[in-house]
Order: sequence, then C-alpha cells, then structure tokens
Amino acid sequence: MKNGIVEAVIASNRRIAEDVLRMELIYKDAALAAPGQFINIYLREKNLLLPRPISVCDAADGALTLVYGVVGAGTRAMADYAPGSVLRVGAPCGNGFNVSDARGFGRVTLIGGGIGVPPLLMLAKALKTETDASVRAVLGFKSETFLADEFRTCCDETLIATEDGSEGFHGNVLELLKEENLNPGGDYFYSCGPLMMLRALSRFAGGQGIPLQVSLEARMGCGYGACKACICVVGSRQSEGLAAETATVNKRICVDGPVFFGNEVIWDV
Amino acid sequence: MYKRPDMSVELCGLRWKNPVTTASGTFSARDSGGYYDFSRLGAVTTKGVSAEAWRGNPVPRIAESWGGMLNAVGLENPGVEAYIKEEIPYIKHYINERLMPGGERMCANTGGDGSEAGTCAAPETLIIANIVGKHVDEYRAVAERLNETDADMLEMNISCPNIKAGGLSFGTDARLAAEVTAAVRAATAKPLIVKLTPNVTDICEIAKAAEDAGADAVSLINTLLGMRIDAKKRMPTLANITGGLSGPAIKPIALRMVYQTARAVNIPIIGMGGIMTGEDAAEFFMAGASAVAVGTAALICPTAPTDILSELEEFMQSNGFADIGALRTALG
Repeated sequence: MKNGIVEAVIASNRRIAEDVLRMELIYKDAALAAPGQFINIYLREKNLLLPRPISVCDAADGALTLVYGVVGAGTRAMADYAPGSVLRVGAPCGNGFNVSDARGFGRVTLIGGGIGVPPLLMLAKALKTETDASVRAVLGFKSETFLADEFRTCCDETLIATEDGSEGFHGNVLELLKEENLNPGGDYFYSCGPLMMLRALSRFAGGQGIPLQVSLEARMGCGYGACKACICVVGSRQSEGLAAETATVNKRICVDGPVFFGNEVIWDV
Repeated sequence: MYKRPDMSVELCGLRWKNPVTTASGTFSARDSGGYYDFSRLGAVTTKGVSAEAWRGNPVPRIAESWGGMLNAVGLENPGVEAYIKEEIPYIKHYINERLMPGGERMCANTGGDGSEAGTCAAPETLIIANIVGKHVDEYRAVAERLNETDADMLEMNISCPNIKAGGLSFGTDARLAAEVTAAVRAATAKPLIVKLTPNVTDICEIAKAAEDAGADAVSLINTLLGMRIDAKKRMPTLANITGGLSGPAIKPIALRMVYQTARAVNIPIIGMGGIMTGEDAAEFFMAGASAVAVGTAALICPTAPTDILSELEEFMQSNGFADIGALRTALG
C-alpha cells in the first residue's frame, strides 16, 4: 500500500504566539511532503476520534515542521503533547501548490492570513529554488506575528500587516496590496488564510488578471477522500461567471485540494 | 493454541471468504485502497448510489462528538451510470490485480503480520452496491440498472437521516418499507439487503416487514439522528442542523438492536454500529449477526477494516472459536 500511518517522534512543541504552536516531528519519510500538502494527526485522546489535518510548514530530510493554531479540543490536546513522545501521523495528503505554473513570472507574491501563513513558508523556499521569480511575502495577523523572520530569510521582500497596527501596515493584507507602491499587476499570487480573505483576494486578483492559487481549510472527516465531508464547489477555470449549477462540481478539499485556482472556486454557495 | 478458525460465511446464497465488509459511505475504492488491500475483505459495500447524481448537503457536513461523530453528507454521489462506468470496474481491477499468476489468490485469512500468507482458492471479494432514492421508482430504477453489472448484492438504504425526501421515511414506516422492498425485489435477481434505521420505536417491526416483502438480509444500524450546537457561535454545528451519529458511542444501541432483530426474523443480519476492534465484531456475531460492517472506524484509521478482520481472527483463535457459527451460538 502506498499510504499509511507512521509513528513520528515529537522533537519540540512550543508556543510561538498566542494560541499558535510550532511542532517539529522526526520520522523517516518526512521529506515526502510537498508545499501545500497537509498531514493527518491521529490524536491520543480516545474520545476525540477524527484525525486533525494540519498544513505542512516545512519538511526536510527526516524532519517535518507544523505550525498550528489552537482552535478546538483536538489542537488544545496537541498543545500538551510532550517532546520525546510518539505521535501517529498519516502520509502527506492532498494536491499542494503548483510551483511550476509560476515559472516565467518576474515576481510571485504570497499572501497569508493568520494560521494560513505557515504553508506559504515551504512554498517560498520551493519557489526560490525552482523558479527565477523574486518572492514577496505579504503576511497579515490580528496582532502578534509569527514566522516573520523565517520569511525574511528566504523571501526577497516580506511585508507585515496587523489589524491593530501593532506591527507593520495597520489593516488587512488586501488593503496593503492595494497600496500604490506595491504594483502587484504582473505578479503570480499564492494564498492561504481565512475564507473571507481568500474570497476578497480572488475578486481582486480576478479583476486585475493576476493568476491565483488558494489553499482552502475545511472541517474534515477522514482526511483521505472516503467520507466526502469537506467539499467545495468548483467551476471550470476557463469560463468566468458560471451561474448554472450544472456547470459546477463538488470537489473534496482533502484529496482534490486543498489548493485550487482562485477563479475556479465558487465562493458564494 | 487453537487451530486457525474458518472465517468464511454463507450469506444469501453467496460464499464470503470472511464476514467483514465496509459500511456504506465510508469506503472509496480509489482512496481507501491506497491504505489497505480491500481484496482481503469478504465484501466491500460502496457509497449510496442514486439514479442521477446528487450534490449532497452544504458544509459543514461533519462534527465530532464525545466518542462519536455526526455526519450530514447527504448521499452525494455521481449517479448510477458513473458508478457502473468507473467504480465497479475499478474495484474489479483492484481485486484481479491481486490474483497470483495462475488465478490463485493470496490467502485472505492471514494474520495482520502476513506471516502465514499463502495461496488458497478463497472466493473473490464481493461487491455490495448500496442504492438510494427519493421515491420507490428511483430505487427500482437503480436496482434494475445494476442487474447486468458485477455488483454481487444490493443494499437498499431506507435509513439515511440526511435527505429530505425518501431515505429515512421509508425506514420508519413498516408499510412503506414493505412497499419499496417489494418493488426493488421485483426489479432484481441479486440478493437484496435492506439497511435499517435505529430511529424507530420497534426495529423488529420494520425488519419483519422487509423480510415479508422479499428481503434476503437486513443490515443495521444506520446512524442515529442527532445534532450539535456551537454555543459560542450560537448556531448548529452542521449546516444541515441535524446529522447522523456514528462511532463507538452508538455500539450498545446497535448491539441491542441486532440482538432483538435476530430473534424476530429468519434472514441473516449484517451488523454494524461503532465496531472499532475485532472483539467488538465478535460481540455482534454473539448478538446474532452473520456478517459485520466497519464504518466510522475506517474514517478514524484508514486501515481499520482489515485491522479488525485480523483482530477478529486472533480473538477467535485464542478463545477457541472454530468458525463464525461458533461465535453466533456462544450466548446460548
């Protein structure tokens, strides 16, 4: 069988911002994960049945980095897992970011919001090695930032927006993108963040003819394609303004996504 | 140490190499087959299929609860034509690829570690097509369409709590259950299983109605109607408001209903509801089931169906049960 569940050792699991933790996992096949993929975490708590899908922040030879938000009972339990202990994790899941699609573009802009920021870090590294594009990160947070230094290390430019103005631009990432001197017109966009942000960004990018890939988050059941709990509605990438329901299809975010082109997602369903 | 148990069962005139199948809606050949070799199972039960494609319910379709989960997927499926064209051939191909040269097959009844793997002439994994409909004619149309296909058995779902028309209403009314069973019975020569809902006062009454109308077997239980509320957001957790509860939390109810139904009908029962381990499965056989289905466990751990099969065999071997029949008569 090509997929399976393996045991990883937690090397570290520490808080890097309010309700945000960074977990380093050590296991043989960690480097198989591609940018934009996620892994299912099989929790130790027997009463919490379903796996927790967490996006991959970085993957190297034998080591995987997850940066996750504490949003419910499962991630709250994860936050207490001690370094040195063993955790069951699934094989990397889903179709991640398409890196080669950005080849030929002079600049790529990565737009992250909150807990959607982490998967863009691994993407930034891949873009730097696999394309000639300059890579710009535009990262939005409520207040406290995280991973900003890692982005500054691997990106050509890193811009921060905070909703309370405590750091960088005072406002959200879309307002920042619309600042006159950012000129994203000829860029290629990749994004991960809250649905509202992705929807607004998709409109903005569509209006300017900027290609956009988005990574969607969803409440999943199995996390491997069997249960059809985590669907989104997708239309043809070529045809704009799809209205008829027959022209759209349901896609499973776990295996058909989580990354889709912004202009194929039907946002208002 | 006792002898290796005989795991095979005879059900509705068909030989199953072992009594474990998947529960409908939790198995996708392409996706599940990447995690475990489903040709080791006695049968695979596929996701509910309707005459035309169904889009299912809005998201969120799933919510966890203490020891269980609620789903309101709403039987999203590509329709019977796509099922015949894509799903059945894929399953057949998957099973045939695992045939040894010369048509022999890896022995299905090996332990989890594969240490005693060998060849044997075990029958192929059967395909159970789960069919759904909003009215009697639709159930009948799907059953008819499957006549000339490789589906070995039909399982008629009259118990889904997540669709507005049909589904559950057929399963909660003995007269309607009999009507739809008789209609599908007349449309197919394949063995017909009727899948029952626990959302009734007396499940035996519905089971008997299905039996009298020509069902070859009944399967139970489907999910229990439930709901969750997100207190902070002040709204139901599921977009559909209500959903079907499954998982280990419902096992005692499922076991009780299998036990009662086994004493009310003379047709075999496929038992399901919260089976997480081989020992759980053994309990269902003791309650009167002839086969078992693994559902939610496979969402929690993708390899659960074959894991549970191995555990069941180990349980039987270490406790001296020679075959499934011995388990079924163990309660006395």
